[in-house]
This record gives sequence, structure tokens and C-alpha cells, in this order.
Amino acid sequence: MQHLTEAQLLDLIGGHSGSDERAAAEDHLAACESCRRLNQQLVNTWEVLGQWETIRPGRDISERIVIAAGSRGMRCPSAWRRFALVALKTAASIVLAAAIGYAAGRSYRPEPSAAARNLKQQAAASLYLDTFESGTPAGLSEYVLAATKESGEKEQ
Amino acid sequence: MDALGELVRRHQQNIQALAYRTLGSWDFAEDVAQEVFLRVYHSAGKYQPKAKVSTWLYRIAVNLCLDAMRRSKRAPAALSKDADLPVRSVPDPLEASERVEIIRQAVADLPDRQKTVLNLHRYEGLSHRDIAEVTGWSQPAVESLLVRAYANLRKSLSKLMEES
Ligand SMILES: [Zn+2]
Repeated sequence: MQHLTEAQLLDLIGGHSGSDERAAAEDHLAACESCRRLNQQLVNTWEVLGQWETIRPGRDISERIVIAAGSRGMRCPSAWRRFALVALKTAASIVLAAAIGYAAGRSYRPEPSAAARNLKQQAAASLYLDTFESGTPAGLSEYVLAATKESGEKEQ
Repeated sequence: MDALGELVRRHQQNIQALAYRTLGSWDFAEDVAQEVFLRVYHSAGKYQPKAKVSTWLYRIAVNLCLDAMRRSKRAPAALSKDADLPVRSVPDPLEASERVEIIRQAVADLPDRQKTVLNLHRYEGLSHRDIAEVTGWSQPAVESLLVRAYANLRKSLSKLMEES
């Protein structure tokens, strides 16, 4: 019998195993006393570590960082603006392509609200912003677009 | 600037918590987080669209923390403004329970690389592969570090485990 490695057990405990891996590991654990013992030790360690909470309410440092960026920004805000501009360009082309596709296939497309939501998600994905945990997926893209517009206006 | 503020607000909790657990001081964690976001702001052009933004942020934070830990070993006082905060800091009043202090100390006592992967795995919820991406270490190396970190903690936290 091939035993489970500690790395496999840690993956399982961390919740990152795929469903097949998880099922196979659980079958093995049910049948193997020594892996079960090791797994229990790791679970105990995991749980004890969970008692260390670090919630520190009320510390929003965004303002401080924006001010610091402004004071240092003289040297290189162009990098950020370029990032935003590239993001805007990619997003705009995807939105345009998707809009054309939407118009062409309107008759058998789902409701406009779902399509619009999808467009927004595609735009966010093109900005690689779809992985943000909170808020709407496209939330930040709106800020990037606004900031880009702002900086463009200032330059003119 | 609104975009920067929004980026900070969405990720600051995770970045600060990671730096705090690694370095042991909120003041220092805030400094690291500030540096992470300023670097992103100034180096946005270097962003590799293949990576998740959160991975990129963690990566910068991990490198800054590893640098800080290396520096603290050479000159402990250089780590923080307060000179008494580096890796083993004064307990935060919010977390002054004895159990938490034992856990915090056990994590602080881990070698730097073990501590880094442990924090990303246990507290930031990253998979082995994501940790490899964040740290730039191979996945087998990450797994070996994780196994050693948990083995060390199993020993140093055995008393707490018996209690619970
Ligand atoms: Zn086994």
C-alpha cells in the first residue's frame, strides 16, 4: 500500500486537493492507521495555529499611501499611467468585440442584463482584475478607467 | 490616485497580516504594506499579466519581509523605527493571551523560509503551487519547507495540543 505523503496531507487539510485526490486520500485514511495518526497530528497543529487571530480593526492605510505616492510620484507616475492605459486599451477592444458579437447574435442570446454582466466580467478579466476577492469583478476597472481619464485630461 | 486607493483598500488586510505574522509588529507591517503598494504604483509597467494581482502583491511583500528578516539578523535595531519591535516583538495588547503568545513565538522561532511558507499556507490560504509562484521557489522545495515547518510546530506546540 502506498502511503500518503505529509505534503499530500497538508494539501488536503488546506483544502486545495481536487475532488478525485480528496476522495482517494479519504479512502486511504479510512484504511490506514499510520496515515490516519499522522493526519490527526497535522490537523491538531493546523487547528491550534488557527487560534492566532490578527484582526486589527480600523487601520486603513490607503490615504497614507496615496499621499506618499503623490509625494514620490514626480519621478515615475508614467509607469502607473501606462499600466492603466494598456489596461484600458485591452478592455476597450474586448468590450467592443463582445458588443459586436452581442449585436450579431442578439436573437438567441440570454437577457441583456446577463450579457452586460458577462461583458463587465470579460473587461475585468482582461485587466487581470477578476481575481480580486471583494466587490464586483469589474469594480477596480472602473477606477482604473477613471484615473486614466483624469491623467489624460491633466496632460492635455 | 483613486485606483491606487482602491487597490490598497482591497488588499491591505492580507498584506499587512502576512507582514505582521512574519515580522511581529504592526508598525512594521504597515511600512511593508506601504512599500508594496508604492512599488506596484511605480512599477506597474513591469506587471506580468500572467500572474494574479494578489500573487504579485504577495510576492513583493514576501521579498520585503525576507529582506527585513535578513537585515534584522545583521543589525537587529535597524529593523524598526522603535528599535524593539523586530522579529520578537512586544505582544500586542489585543492578543495578549498566553496561548496566542505561545503560538506567535513558535512561528517566530521557525527559520525564515519555513515561516514564510507556513504563513502563506496556514493564514493566507494559498495552495502549494501558489506559494511556489509567490516565493519563486520550486513546488517540491515549498512542500519540503511546509513539512518541516509543521513538524517543528507539532513539537513546539505539543503542550497546547494536549490541552485542546
Ligand atoms: Zn497509509
